[in-house]
Amino acid sequence: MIIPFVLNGDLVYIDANPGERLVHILRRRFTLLSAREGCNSGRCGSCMVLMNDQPVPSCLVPVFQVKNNSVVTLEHFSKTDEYHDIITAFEEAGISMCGFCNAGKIFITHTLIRDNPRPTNDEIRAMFSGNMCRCTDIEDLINGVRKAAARRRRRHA
Amino acid sequence: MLNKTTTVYRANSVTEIQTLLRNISGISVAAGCTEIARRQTGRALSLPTHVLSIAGIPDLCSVTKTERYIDFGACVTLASLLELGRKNLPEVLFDAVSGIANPAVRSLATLGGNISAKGHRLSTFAPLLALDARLEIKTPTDTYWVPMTRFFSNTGKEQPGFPECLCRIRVPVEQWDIALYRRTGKPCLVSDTTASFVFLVKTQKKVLTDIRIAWAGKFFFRKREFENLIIGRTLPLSEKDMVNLMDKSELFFDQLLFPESYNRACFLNLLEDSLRLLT
Repeated sequence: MIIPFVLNGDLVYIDANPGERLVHILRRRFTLLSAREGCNSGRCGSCMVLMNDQPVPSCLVPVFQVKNNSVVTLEHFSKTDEYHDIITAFEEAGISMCGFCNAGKIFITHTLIRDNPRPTNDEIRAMFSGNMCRCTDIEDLINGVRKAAARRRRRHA
Repeated sequence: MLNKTTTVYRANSVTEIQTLLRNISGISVAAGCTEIARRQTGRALSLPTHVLSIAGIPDLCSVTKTERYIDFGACVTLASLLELGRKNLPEVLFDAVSGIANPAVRSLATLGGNISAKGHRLSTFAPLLALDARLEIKTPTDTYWVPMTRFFSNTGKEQPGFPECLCRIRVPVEQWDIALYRRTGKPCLVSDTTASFVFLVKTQKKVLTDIRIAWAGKFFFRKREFENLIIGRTLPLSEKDMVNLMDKSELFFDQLLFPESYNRACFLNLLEDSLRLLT
C-alpha cells in the first residue's frame, strides 16, 4: 500500500504493509532513531511523535493511519526554539536525559505548556502518566516543566 | 506476522461507509486502532483482509448537544471528550474517560472503539449502559437505532449475519443527584479483574425516583428488576432496608452472573458502599 504523509515537513511516500507500526517504519525506513521501540502498548512514551501536533505513541499507530497526516519526530523538533527552551530548563532542573524516553518527555512537555502556559502540579503528573522515565524523579520533572513554561512565557512576552 | 494481503479502504463520508459495506464482503471497521495494537505485541499488526478506516470522517468526529440528548460521533477521540469538560458531559462518562490509559493514548482512542472492543467491556461501557445510551448503526442498506443491551451480548457474539458500522452514540441529558463511577483492577491497564461499576440516583422530595446500577467487565449487566425494588422508597434508607436489599442482591446477582467470585465480591462491596450513600 502506498502511503503519502508529511514527515518532518517533507511529503514522503512509502510502500508498506498497512499493519506495520509507525515506530518501526520511522526507525527502519527513515533511520529516525529518536522514536524507540519499548512496550509496544503505549505505556512507556519512548516512541512518542507528534501527529498533527498531538503527542501520540507511534507504537500504537498502524502506518495506514498516517495517510495524509503530518508526523514530527524529535530529530526535526530539536531544531526549534521550543525544544531549546525545554532542554535548557531540563538541564537547569537537573533532569537526566539518558536518551531512552527523551521523545516522550520533550513532546509531552511541549504540548502541555503550549496548551496551558501555567500547568499545575497535578496536570503535569497526569500528562506524564504515559511516560516511564527510570532516571528522573517526577518532582524534578515538575520542576523542569515549570522552568520550561516560564522560559516559553518570557520568549512570547 | 505480516499480512501482505490487507487492503485498507478509507471512507470520507457516512454514505461511503454504506457503499463500501455493501460492495466488499467481510470488511472490518477500524478507527483509532489502539485496541488492535494493544492486544498484539509483534512489530506489525495482524489486520483483517479488508479494513474500512472511518477515522477522520467529519460527521463521526462531532459532538452535538440538544436539550434532550447528546450525540457523540463514534470517532470522537477520548481526549476531545475530556476537552468538553465535566459540565458538558454526563459526570460518570467524564470520570470513566479520564481514567482511561494516558493522555497520549486518549488522543488516538475513540469512544466507538472503546464500547465496541470485543472480549472485555472497557471503561465507557458501564456508564453508557447506565445512561440508557442508544446506538446508531449503519448497515449496507439501512440505518437503525438500537439500545446498547440489544446490540451487544454477553456471549461475545455481536450481531452476526451482515456487516454494520456503529456511527453515533446518543445519551439522554438527565440530572442525577448521585453519580458514582468506580473501576476495579489495575489503573490504566486492562486485565481479568478490570471492570466498571456505575451507580446513578435521582430523587424528588426525599423519594427515590430513579436508580441505575450497571457493571461491565468480562460480562456486563443491568438488572432492572433489582432497580425496581429500590425505586419509590423514601430516603434516607433505614438499616433494615439496607440488610433487606443486600440479602436480595445476593439472589439477583448470583454466581451464574459472574464467572469469577472475586468480581462478584467487588460488585457486592461497591453496591453496598453505594447504597450506604442513601442511608
